[in-house]
Amino acid sequence: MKEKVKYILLFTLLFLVLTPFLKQHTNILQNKFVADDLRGYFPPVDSANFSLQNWMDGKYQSQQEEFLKRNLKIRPHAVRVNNQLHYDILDEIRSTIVEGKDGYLFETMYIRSLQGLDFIGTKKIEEQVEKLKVALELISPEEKMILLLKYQDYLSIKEIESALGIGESAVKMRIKRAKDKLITVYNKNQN
Amino acid sequence: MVFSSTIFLIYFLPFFLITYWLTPQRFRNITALFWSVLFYAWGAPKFIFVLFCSIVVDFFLAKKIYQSEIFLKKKYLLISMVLNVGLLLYFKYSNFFIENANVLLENLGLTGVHWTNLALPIGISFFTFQKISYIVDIFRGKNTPLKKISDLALYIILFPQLIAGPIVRYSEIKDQLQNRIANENIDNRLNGFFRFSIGLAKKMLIANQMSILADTIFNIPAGILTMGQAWLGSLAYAFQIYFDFSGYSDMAIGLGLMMGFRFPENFNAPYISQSISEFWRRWHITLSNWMRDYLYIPIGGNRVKSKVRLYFNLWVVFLISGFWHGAAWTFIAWGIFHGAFLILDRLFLLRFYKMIGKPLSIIITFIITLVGWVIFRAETFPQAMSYIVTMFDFGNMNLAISTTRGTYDWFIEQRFIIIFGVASFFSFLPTINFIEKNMNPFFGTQGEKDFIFIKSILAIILLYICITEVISTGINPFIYYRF
Repeated sequence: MKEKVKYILLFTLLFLVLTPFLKQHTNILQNKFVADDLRGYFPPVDSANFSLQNWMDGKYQSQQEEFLKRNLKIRPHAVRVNNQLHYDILDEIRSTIVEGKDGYLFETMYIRSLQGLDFIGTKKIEEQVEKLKVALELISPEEKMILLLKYQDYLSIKEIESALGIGESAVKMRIKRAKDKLITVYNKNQN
Repeated sequence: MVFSSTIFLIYFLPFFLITYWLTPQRFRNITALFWSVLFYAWGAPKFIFVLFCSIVVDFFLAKKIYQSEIFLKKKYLLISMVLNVGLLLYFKYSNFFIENANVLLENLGLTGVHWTNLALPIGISFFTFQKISYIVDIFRGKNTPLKKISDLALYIILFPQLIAGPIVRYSEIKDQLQNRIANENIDNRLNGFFRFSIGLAKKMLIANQMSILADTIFNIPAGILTMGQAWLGSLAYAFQIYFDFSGYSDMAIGLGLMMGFRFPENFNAPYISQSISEFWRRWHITLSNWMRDYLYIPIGGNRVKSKVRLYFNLWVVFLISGFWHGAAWTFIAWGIFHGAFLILDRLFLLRFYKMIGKPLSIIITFIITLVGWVIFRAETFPQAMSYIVTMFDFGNMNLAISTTRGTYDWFIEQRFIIIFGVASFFSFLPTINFIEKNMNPFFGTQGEKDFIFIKSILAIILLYICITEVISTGINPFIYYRF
């Protein structure tokens, strides 16, 4: 094979791995790989705050990875191509969604839950409950309280607002933070 | 940093390649070192200083060993071994030992020691072995120490093989560290890209899918698990770990090729082995070689007087290599299990395999390997035992894969069947002699000039598919990152 062809191939490969970057940070390729934004709800991921502490703990790295993944301009294109491939080759409908009667889409998780099929055994559940109890004691009392109001007493956001005398966005923010903290503590305790 | 992450594929890889290729020849080691440090600092920032210090210490100790008389030589070797093995023991095993000691103490009615668990610095198991190979080779007079500390640092933290191997012994790479101009050509770069994308595809398209299946089945409680599910789960895990780990090795070898390095091969179609002894010549080859050179031979190797001693040595090596994989009883049991079959092979199994012929030997060996993987994968030793009992409980045979027993229900989706097909095809294809003999020019690092065009086109397609997969899915670290 001619040397020239080899260089063209190498350049193509290099260009391929550079494409997401070029699309993200330059004006080149703006009109390529255009796809509508993905529909549906995605929890927003914030860009990570850089601090030495965050870096040392690895928090910065993992959040930045997630942030990048979520906010790549090439993501809608990538997700669509990927879903199509999974559908065509593996006959798989992604995001654990099944096609039900009359073409309605259902998320399997809820169906299984409803039928009690996701039961993992009493022992496992008890273990998880124990772990959660421990984790609840390790977050601050304020955080614990707001979680219990929401998930144990089933208060609505409105009711929590008036109970605590703070605004809607503050309530949501606090719940989210408390939840994140609890999950971190829970996962840390697992190991 | 994980090879299959967005940050690596989209930022690290292209910019590393461009800067590396644009750097003048004599500064390329520095460029490679710079990016390797960045790579490790991203993944294990806390540990990188410890790593630097230990590299500096090793550098000077190696020089001392080289210059000293035999008596002092041994002393320096001892210091270096204590430091290196000590670091590994401390970071990897102190949690395990203290946990077990506490259980023992509490059983005796005493209070246990308070201990905060240490996080395992990624890659420590691998680079500790490389450092030992550097020091020991110099002690043995096989090699001379490196002149520049940056070259030693590059050997230890060269990012493609830093975290999960292949374990490159110093003598295999010492010349390339100083000069690899002969290997830096367009053919190797294209081959490297091909190898990298094959590895990424193994990981993203096969191992990740298999892991979903294996995780589901290994989470089914004993008593509900059927025999059919147990076999399927062990198969899924066998394919997961093979495609995960060999995929990682392919990516490392590929990245190395793009930089002009030739790393040793790590896998050679392990599932077509006809005995467990052969399996270890085909699976994680660089670990087996390392164990042979730096553990098996020093404790006597084959040159011992009695057979009992030989078997004992073999067993010790396998016990240690099991324990090397992780600080848990399951890994020790896995090592003992494989060691036992190595001894049985020498006693009578090899003769038996010869009698029954190739296909049956492959099947029996594969089944033994599957049982091994169950021990390896299980969270606790009792879980492994009950899982294996389910696999062989012929009195209570239930081959159903989709079942509703009790309240647990589970069924296999079509996608898994397709992936199973692909995985088995590539795992067992080399049973055909012709293919095994001729696959190297295509997959191996030999015969670089063949098939370049087809390989590059394949690389483009696979890379494209894998990048979309990486962007669309969550984080899936490699199994061997834990070790």
